Amino acid sequence: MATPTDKSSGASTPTTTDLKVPVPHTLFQSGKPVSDGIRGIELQGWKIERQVKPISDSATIESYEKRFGFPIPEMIFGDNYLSISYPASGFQMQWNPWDALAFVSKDVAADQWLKVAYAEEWTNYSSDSLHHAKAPVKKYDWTYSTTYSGTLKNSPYGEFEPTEDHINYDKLKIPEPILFFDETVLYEDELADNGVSITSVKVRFLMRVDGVAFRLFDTRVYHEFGKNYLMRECLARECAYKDIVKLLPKGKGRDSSPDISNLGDPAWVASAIASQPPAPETSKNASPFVQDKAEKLWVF
Amino acid sequence: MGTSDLDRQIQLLRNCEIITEAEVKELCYKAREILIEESNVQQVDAPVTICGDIHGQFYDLKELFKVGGECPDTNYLFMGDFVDRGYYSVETFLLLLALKVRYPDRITLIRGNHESRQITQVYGFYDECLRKYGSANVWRYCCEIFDYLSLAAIIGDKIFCVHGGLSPTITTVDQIRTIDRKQEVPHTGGMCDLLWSDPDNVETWGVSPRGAGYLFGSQVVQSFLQTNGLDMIARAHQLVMEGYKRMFDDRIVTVWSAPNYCYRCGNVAAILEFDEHLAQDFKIFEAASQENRGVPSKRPAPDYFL
Repeated sequence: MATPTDKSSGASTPTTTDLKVPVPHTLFQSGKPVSDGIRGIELQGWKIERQVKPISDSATIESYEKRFGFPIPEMIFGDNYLSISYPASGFQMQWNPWDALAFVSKDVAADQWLKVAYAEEWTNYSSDSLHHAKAPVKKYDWTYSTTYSGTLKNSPYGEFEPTEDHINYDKLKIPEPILFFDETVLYEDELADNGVSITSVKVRFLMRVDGVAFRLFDTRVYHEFGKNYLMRECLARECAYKDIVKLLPKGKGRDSSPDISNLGDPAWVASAIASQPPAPETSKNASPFVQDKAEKLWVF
Repeated sequence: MGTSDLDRQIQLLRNCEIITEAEVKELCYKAREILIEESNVQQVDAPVTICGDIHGQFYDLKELFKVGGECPDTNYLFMGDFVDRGYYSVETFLLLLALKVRYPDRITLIRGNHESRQITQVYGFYDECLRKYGSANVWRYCCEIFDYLSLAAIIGDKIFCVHGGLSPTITTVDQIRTIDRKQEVPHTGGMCDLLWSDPDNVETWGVSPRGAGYLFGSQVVQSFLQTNGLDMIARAHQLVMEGYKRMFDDRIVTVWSAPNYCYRCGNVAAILEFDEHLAQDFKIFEAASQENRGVPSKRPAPDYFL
């Protein structure tokens, strides 16, 4: 087990600069890599691989609906995954949609129950005039908000542990060549045209309920060659719709109203949400969507 | 606007080329004259081919016509959601509308929840109109037409067709006929429910956990069919990997006609043909090939994740 003296934040770590740039690597792929196949990269003893496939068929969806007890997101890419492994030690970590859905809450506290923008109008109408409407059918978190940060398939040195260390962002800002890039969607739901919820592995969860709220749960896994551990940082934010709309640039229309098309751009929304301060934890049921945490895991 | 003008516009639109703003205005004017005469619940004669969501996937609509036959050779019923999400909502909707004006008895268009001012501003059609015409005028003309689209259709007195599903405020088809449909899709009420609700494994009615929107169960379908002397409900609105999905002992079917939805779901699409005896035949089709699609392959641009 490594000693905790190896701070990753110091600029003096020699090992990465000793490496040739670009780092020797092998890219691989099979199938139709854009829509139905595997792509990946091998370098420095690591193997990173992702698979994309069409959405799951109805039989698969039904079996998971029984298991989870709530409806599966409309676009469920059941065969998609991203995996990071270090074959020499047997370490393997994976992100897949089913494990991500296991982190969706099945019983949401009343004060954290998000409702669509027109829910009050709708409820008043339907209960006053009709009495057809009872309580919601299933009290699952219909926004599919997840705090999933990956599945340890095989981890010879245990679990992630909290750390005071942080990812060295200065190093990430150096525009090194990108040897391999992909974004693999695990699941996505349009929230019945009330917004959007996407869990993709770069790794990022992002959710918008139009007129109501945004949520972001970003997990970043970081490794510096020469170290023998992975860093994992999770950033969670939840903020009011109006606070993000304020940040929209002016649109091209004559009335120069805000350009809401940015709300469909995950990168823009994520950066806007991440720029918001974490909300004070006033509620007794503190939302899992307000946190910052850093962890470390020894891999070999 | 003469027939030859209209035929020329149809030809342009079939090639995925837009017509001028003035032509759109004229086309919408003509379409309104036709649609205003149509009932909230259009009577449609079999044989007819019914189609679900298209969502601006123009080149896949061309595939649909290849598989199902061109209009007017084939009689079509489109169950809404012509626009949003795909790259060609303008061309898709204007082609369907031009066909409606040219062959009013050979194509029926009913309204989906995306045929709405509010929804199209969020999901792409509004932005596309601005981008392709430089102003929101074309979007405005189209939205006016949306308000005139029928809410449902009945094929051969037996098959009830609607975009979403049923409503607890509606027990008879005649109740739908009394709705004043010429308005933006409301957030509540029968008209809203017809365009938004979903079948689900509940006994009667359920409320979506979202806090708005109904789920309806097999008993509701059974009693609606019985009350109105109908055999089956056909609807769209929900993505299905296999292109269609039957529920409740085949009393309801979901038809989905946007293959590889959003250019990334990898699903197949379906249309449902009814012959003159109302015998059913699904036709399954896949997305237009990359070279026929005119859309760059969707590989995300490399990006630093900071």
